[in-house]
Amino acid sequence: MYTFLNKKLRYMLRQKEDEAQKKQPDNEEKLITGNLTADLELIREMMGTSSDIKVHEFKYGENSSQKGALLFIDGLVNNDVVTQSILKPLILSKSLNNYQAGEMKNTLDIVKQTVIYSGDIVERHTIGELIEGCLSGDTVFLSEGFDKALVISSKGWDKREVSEPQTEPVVRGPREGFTENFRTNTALIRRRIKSPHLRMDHLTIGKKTDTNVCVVYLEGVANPDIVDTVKVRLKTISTDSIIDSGYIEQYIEDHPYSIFQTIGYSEKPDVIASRILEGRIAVVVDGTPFVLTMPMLFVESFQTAEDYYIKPYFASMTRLMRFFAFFLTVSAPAIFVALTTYHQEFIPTTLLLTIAAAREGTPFPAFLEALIMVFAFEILREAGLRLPRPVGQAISIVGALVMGEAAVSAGIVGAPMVITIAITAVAGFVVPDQNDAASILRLILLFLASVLGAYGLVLGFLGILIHLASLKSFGVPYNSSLAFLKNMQDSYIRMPLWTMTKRPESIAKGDIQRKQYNTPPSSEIVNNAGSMEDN
Amino acid sequence: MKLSRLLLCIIIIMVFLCTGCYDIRELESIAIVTGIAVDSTQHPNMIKFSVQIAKAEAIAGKGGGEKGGGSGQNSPVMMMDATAYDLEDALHSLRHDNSRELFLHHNQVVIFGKALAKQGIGSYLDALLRGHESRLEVPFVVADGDAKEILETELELEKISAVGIQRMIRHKAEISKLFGTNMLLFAAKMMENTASSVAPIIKVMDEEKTKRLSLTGLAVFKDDKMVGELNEPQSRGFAWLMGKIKASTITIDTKKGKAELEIISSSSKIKPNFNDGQKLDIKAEIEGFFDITELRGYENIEMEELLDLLVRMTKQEIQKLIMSCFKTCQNLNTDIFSFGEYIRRHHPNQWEKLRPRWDDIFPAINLSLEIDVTIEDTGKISLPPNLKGEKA
Repeated sequence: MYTFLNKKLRYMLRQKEDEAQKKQPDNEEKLITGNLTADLELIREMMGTSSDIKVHEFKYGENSSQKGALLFIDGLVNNDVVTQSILKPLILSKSLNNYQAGEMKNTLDIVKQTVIYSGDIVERHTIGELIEGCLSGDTVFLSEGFDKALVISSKGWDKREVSEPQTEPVVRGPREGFTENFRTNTALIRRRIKSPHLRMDHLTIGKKTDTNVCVVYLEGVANPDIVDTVKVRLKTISTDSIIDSGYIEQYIEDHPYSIFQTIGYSEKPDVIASRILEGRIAVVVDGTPFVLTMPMLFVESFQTAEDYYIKPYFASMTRLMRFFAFFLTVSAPAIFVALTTYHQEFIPTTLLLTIAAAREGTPFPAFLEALIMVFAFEILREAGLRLPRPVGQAISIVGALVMGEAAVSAGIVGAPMVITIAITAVAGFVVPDQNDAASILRLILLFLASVLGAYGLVLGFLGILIHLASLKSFGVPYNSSLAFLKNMQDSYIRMPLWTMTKRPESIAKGDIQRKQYNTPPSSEIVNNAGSMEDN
Repeated sequence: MKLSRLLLCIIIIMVFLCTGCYDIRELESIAIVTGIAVDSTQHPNMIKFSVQIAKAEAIAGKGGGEKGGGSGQNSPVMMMDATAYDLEDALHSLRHDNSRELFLHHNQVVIFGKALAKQGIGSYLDALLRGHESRLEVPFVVADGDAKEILETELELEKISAVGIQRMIRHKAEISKLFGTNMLLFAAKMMENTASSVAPIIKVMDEEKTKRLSLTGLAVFKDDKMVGELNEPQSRGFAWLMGKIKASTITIDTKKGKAELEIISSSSKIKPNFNDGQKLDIKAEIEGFFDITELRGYENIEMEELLDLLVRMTKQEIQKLIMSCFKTCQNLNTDIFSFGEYIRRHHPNQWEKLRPRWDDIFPAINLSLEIDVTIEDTGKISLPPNLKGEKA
């Protein structure tokens, strides 16, 4: 029924979109006429009278005989580039003087080849293309008498420096993070993978925003079918705006109705690079530091960048602990409610007496108490997140005191419940990727446990398990590498790097061999002569 | 079509949810029973059933400091009793009189009064074994006197006396598993054809100011009726014969001095000898390993000589313990050693002949002992400090 509804909805949406598309006017296809005044008039008509659009008309060439115009958007262009590399050479250049009047039709080629100091100049023929270039920060050079124009790259707007990301902090490992700038981000990836096989396929999505999107993958390593799937899904996005990579995620994910996310994201170039090297496909979106990766496996939520930078023992221990923490954050309140309202016989006598003493005199049933506390925590979390940082801290202190101390001493809730919720809350932050899903699952399980006890808990867990097993991310089962099959070096525990000879087989295709042999590092010592000691 | 699918989904969800909550029990709606005591009454068919209920608030000690002695209003436990014809009846009447539901899962101990034990406890055990709420591994003791009095006795260290009794039994059982029994083991032994069960006896010791509880021995049951007692040394003999003694000491008292030996391990083997099915001889081979923990006296004696002496005396002591126990049981005609069961398992053919006359055969069994004692370790020093070790 679920899939049926899904299909039906998609079909209806698609139909509506198609209708809307047909009504789209066709003004942008107009060609450049060659009459400078008329062309500029047309452009002004289309772009309106925004104050940041600058049209600079000037004369150049032999005896300043040629009329030309520069079109750019103030703030998007680097003014130095516009004046020093475009305007100044145009006006002062002597190279145009040497040509005869008869060669006038070549002027634009000469300008392109010998006058302007720029590595990125393209010829355009339609008004639409000019406006597009202008809006993305390029400078348009129009000249009287030519039915084409030059679009010269001059992008240069204010942007944030590469800095340490707020999410995913590490103790050991690279600290740089992506920025909102598209090219900076692709460069950060490129800098880490200096392979000629690294592909960055460019797309623009969004009828109004025209957002730059880049599909990054390693050719020969990434599964070509998945690459095509990603591209096709990206191309079929028909929306007018893409503000953040979250938009893209919601338009191309496999299971839009699932609470689990099937597309990964990261703010750190090292994480993205290592995922690309595993055969995943990254999607860089202009205007956001969050880069998407796909396909995503469930186990990814439990892996952190640092796991691979430290020794495997501690990494494995923390990873197992993350799984346990996820279990705790999803089920701790539910287990507590189930035990204290249905299965008191499971609790050791002395513990039961302690819990019973704390429950004595509290006004609400255990389920309601848990619900109140879970909601109170969610409210506090949200408040701490949304408020300006200095106020946020005050809120968390007040919240902690109110929830922890006052509520207990006033007898509104029992202390064991506060402990349970506190553990739940803290454990949730161990697996930040699945925190959203965990918050919802927590409530579902809590509800089930309160009406059915342990039976409900088991029911809930089975449901979650079945759902997880049914999920796929771009054709790859969500749970692969958690089921006991191949490629277990990097799932529940992290084996030493030298044992990971292959890329994950469920994702990579083609060149899946990372290294040849599964051998530990040599412990031999090189002596002075430079040859290996015999051992 | 679509509607019916949707309905089906809703119905399935409802099926799961509508069964819920039927056995919900909020913690503040239950009375946690920590101990059960069953006594006989003047009326021959009626029993007095007492439960000890823990008062959670008093136990968790919210401001426990101001409560001092813990008696009176703020006592951590509460006693309730009911007189009825049987146990289930009593439980019902207690339930009806109570603001909270009795919760038996956490019951720590079941105590039967001696008088009731002598009348027979089978029918009461049945109720406790049958109900799903009471646990089978609950320790089971017989009170030397009134069972309720035992539960009412306050212990110095434990807030809930039932928990204290349960711990006492558990400690005693460290000496030998035979010293502690739970309802399941007791019932299992009762179901063996010829065997008799034992249960620890608990007694209130009146001391000058306070009352103290003590496990004084074992009550011997024939079927479900208590027929006699084994005192402390005799119960040790019982454990020795079964090879189940450990973590205990044995005291050797001679004219020359006194020694304490700690039992490291022990084992026993039983070898029956069927004299043409008429009379049964049983030979028990008992092996014990000891450490010396204390020596007093024994002046002017060499180590080897001393060890010889200790081994000899230990053998005698063990022999004495076992025979004293065995004679008592023969007099009571109670096969607490499960000799019958042993023969049934290992010599089923012989057992068929013996079985009809077991009650005649058991009192006439001739038990011979072969005791092997090894002193493994003398501790950190060999001779007592006053011996100077002249010849060593």
